[in-house]
Amino acid sequence: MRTALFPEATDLERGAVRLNGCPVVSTIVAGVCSAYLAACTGQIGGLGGSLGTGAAPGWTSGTGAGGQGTSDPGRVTLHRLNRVEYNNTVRDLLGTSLTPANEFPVDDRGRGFDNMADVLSLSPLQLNMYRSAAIALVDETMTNAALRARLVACDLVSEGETCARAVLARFVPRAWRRPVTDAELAHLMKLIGTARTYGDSYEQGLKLALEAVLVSPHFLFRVELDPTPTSTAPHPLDPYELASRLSYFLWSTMPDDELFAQAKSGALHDPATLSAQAQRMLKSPKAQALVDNFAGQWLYIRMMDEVAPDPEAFPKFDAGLRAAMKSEAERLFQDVVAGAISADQLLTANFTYVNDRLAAHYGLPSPGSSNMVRVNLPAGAQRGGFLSQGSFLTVTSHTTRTSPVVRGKWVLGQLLCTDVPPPPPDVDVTSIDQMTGGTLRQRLEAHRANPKCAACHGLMDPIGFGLENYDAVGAYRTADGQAPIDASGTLPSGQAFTGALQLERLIANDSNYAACLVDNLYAYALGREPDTTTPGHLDRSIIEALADRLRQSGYDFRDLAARIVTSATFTSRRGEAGSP
Amino acid sequence: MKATRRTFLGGSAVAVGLPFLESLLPRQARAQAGAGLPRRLIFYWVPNGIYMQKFRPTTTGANYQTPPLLSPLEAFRADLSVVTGLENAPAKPDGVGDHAAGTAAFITCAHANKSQTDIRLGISADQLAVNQIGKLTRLPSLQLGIAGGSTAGDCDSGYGCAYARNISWTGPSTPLPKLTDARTVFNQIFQGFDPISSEAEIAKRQAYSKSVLDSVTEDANGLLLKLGRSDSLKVQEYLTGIRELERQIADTSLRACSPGVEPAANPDYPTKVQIMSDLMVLAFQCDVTRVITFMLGNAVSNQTYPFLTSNGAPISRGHHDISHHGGIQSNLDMLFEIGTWEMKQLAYLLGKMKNVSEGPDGTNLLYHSTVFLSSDVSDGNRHNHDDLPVIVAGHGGGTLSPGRHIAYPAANHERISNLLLTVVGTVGATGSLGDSTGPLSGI
Repeated sequence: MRTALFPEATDLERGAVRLNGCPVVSTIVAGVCSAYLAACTGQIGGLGGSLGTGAAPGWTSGTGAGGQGTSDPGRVTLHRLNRVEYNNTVRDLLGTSLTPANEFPVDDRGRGFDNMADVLSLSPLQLNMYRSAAIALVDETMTNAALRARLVACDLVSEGETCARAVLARFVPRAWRRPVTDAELAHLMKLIGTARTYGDSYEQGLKLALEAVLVSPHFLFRVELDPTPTSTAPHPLDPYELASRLSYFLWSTMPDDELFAQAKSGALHDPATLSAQAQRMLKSPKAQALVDNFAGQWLYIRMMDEVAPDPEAFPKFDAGLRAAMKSEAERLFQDVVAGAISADQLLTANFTYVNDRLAAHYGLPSPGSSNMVRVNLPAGAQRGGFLSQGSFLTVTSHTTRTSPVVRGKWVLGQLLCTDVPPPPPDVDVTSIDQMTGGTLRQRLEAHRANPKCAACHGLMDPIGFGLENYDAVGAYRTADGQAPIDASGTLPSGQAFTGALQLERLIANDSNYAACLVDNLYAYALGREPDTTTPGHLDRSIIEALADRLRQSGYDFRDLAARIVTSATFTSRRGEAGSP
Repeated sequence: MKATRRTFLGGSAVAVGLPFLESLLPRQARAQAGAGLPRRLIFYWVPNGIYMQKFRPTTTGANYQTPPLLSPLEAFRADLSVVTGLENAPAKPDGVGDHAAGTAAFITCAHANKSQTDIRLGISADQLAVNQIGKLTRLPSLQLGIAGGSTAGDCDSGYGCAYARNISWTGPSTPLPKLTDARTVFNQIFQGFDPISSEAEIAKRQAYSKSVLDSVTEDANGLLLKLGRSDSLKVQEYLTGIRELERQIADTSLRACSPGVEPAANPDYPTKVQIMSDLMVLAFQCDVTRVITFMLGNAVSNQTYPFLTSNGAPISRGHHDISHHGGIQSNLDMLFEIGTWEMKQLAYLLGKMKNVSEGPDGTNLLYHSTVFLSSDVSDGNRHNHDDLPVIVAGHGGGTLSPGRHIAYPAANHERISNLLLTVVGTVGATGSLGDSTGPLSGI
């Protein structure tokens, strides 16, 4: 659950006055500004208490868990495979090394992630590209001997229709991630007849059928059916649907043979089985998907590919350094996924991963390798934990300088799920660059003399100030220009700290950190926005219970993942009132 | 088919070479359009507003004095009108988020539902036009851009990224995402181009494609029977796409238009903008589509302009950062340079269009087109959605009277949606758009 520091406009006032900004309309009186300021400071005291330890529902399968009348597991809208999911799925389905989705339009992101089913719309252009991809994939599969052998285990020339049917009978259930009916197979076999009508081979017919399989909505969408689509009564997912939820959450791809087998046996809904499957999957190399797609978006690691530090200001920042920083962050989160470290050690680890290039940038001893090597960090290294890593420090900076504001806002928003509103319009957000003398901190502090800015900046900036020992590409420094850096900072709770490492310890111990990790992973797992406000909805109580459990477990990420997949909202769904 | 075309092209290419295509223009499609030459539309979005003090002419009418920002367009003075004083009231966000809400409302003039995942907006002007003329070309419309958008983070203050990255919408919840890779655009434009295969081969291929699409249509129809409301909407989107594909596959008009050479891979930013302009003109020349939207970035674009200088220094700060200029002259100077560069890009596009002569009467592509340019806000510092910067270029096939500065008094709160109705009216489209009340006359 996210805490808004700034109430929605409607709380403030309706109608004539702009909601966000004090200064936009000249007629706005000072009193409105005060309300805004109070809003930004007023709720801070309530932080911490906002995610209390409510009654914890079970996270077992079933539909009745939770408090009285709390039984709504929600529903996930028909989920189109996003670009990553498409590439991974065709890799596992066909063995191809093609990545056709790289050409597809970028998927829109909602709530921080690009796997939110509601915003994965499908335009005619996208469908056109899915079709082109299907044609290219089938061509490759049928002409590449190794790939073809995986798919076609009989002789299409001598066995003709029998062989084609056998190929489809084995392939289609994997492609559609569920058993197929005889009628569905017969339907696809008609395409083989079409090719024969034109005097073409079974080979050509099979290609048409395979193309149809890969363009079918059963492939492009993750289909979950309700026994009665208009009934809001909860029901358990079909085991194959559950297998897909598991595999797309943990692997961003289709289920493997083991998951299909568990679905077929009917055992998958058993919480112990489900939990064991999650543990197995987290140990697989495919769990790298959680690093790339969950952490890549939650922690902005993906943005390392797009940041553009000013080459004149930072001539040493090059492709090698960029790649090493990204890899450092990914390797640390890999350790979290693998269970090698706990989720709070993401912030407090006393080791990191560097190669010679990154070690030199950090002022650490060279590990003697161009590959990333795990190194223990000596006391005084000024490194350790995600907030002291080049990736975070660079993506939260401007092109020519650091931004304590952006860094502070990021820490509040991404690690504590506390949103700070952006500045109202008509305030000068660049003037500090025009100011001269002193440190950036001193200029920002002077800037905050403006009461329009002070309320929210008073929350963000003091966090970022504590990180000022790291420049806009994450190099350690003790002076900003000529002036020495003061790296003392304060959290909105009032806790004081100096430097990144102390800040990291405070956040790791903040109960909101656990709640925020849960909140993000839960939304990502389900591919929908958690509903924490609708009465009767299970999301809120489950999220709160998961956060409690995460803290009790010593921040065991794998335990959290397993508990998410065994929660009622993950294993069941409901229909939707209203006619289609 | 792709391989066939590459074979035909005979090797890799370095840049888009625009072939002279006049004699190759498909006549069949034109004939279907009814009387006259086909009319085209471009909706051109630029981010972060415009430096209005340098954009707004101080006088109105035909003899307006060229303001500094419009000097790159001087050669097209007779081909465009500057329109000021228009307002896009639905673009005002709930709370903060002017860039996303303003981009969403750019040509929908609809108020975006503030949500990360509950996306609700409205049909956009280009799609109103598509409803009228989309079926006359292989692609009903084409959505182009420069950048897909950031790979992580909030797009703008609680608005889902769909609002910040798309200006073309077929309906409230269905954005049409843009293509931002020049080679992909090129391949889309010339998909199906095949000068080698025989008629019989092409007929067979079409029959095969149709069979496959029939098969998946049955899948989708079967699925529809089992789904609830929200899920059905997704399958309806799918079926719309399938019907569109069927139509495209049956369209062989492109056989008569030579594609020229594939664009270079990974061009730098300014080169890419020019290549995209080349491709827009190419798509029109080959009559592959008649309706194009173009986004020069995404909402809150923080594009840097190190290839431009201001006060002797390269512009290394991001556009959005600079657009919060605070009235500081050095910031405004940078905005002037960026704005001038943007106007040069428009001039490049208009020049390309004007160089394509059409028909026996000596007219050109620009004469038969209408290019609408504006931004998500007016002043990047104030985020205001009135006093919008607007250029309407082209003659709309003779339906427009360009060459003037048309200024609406601020007190009238004249709606930009009404101007957009006039723009789509040049291709014969009618209807309503967001808060529109009726097309503006005298444009």
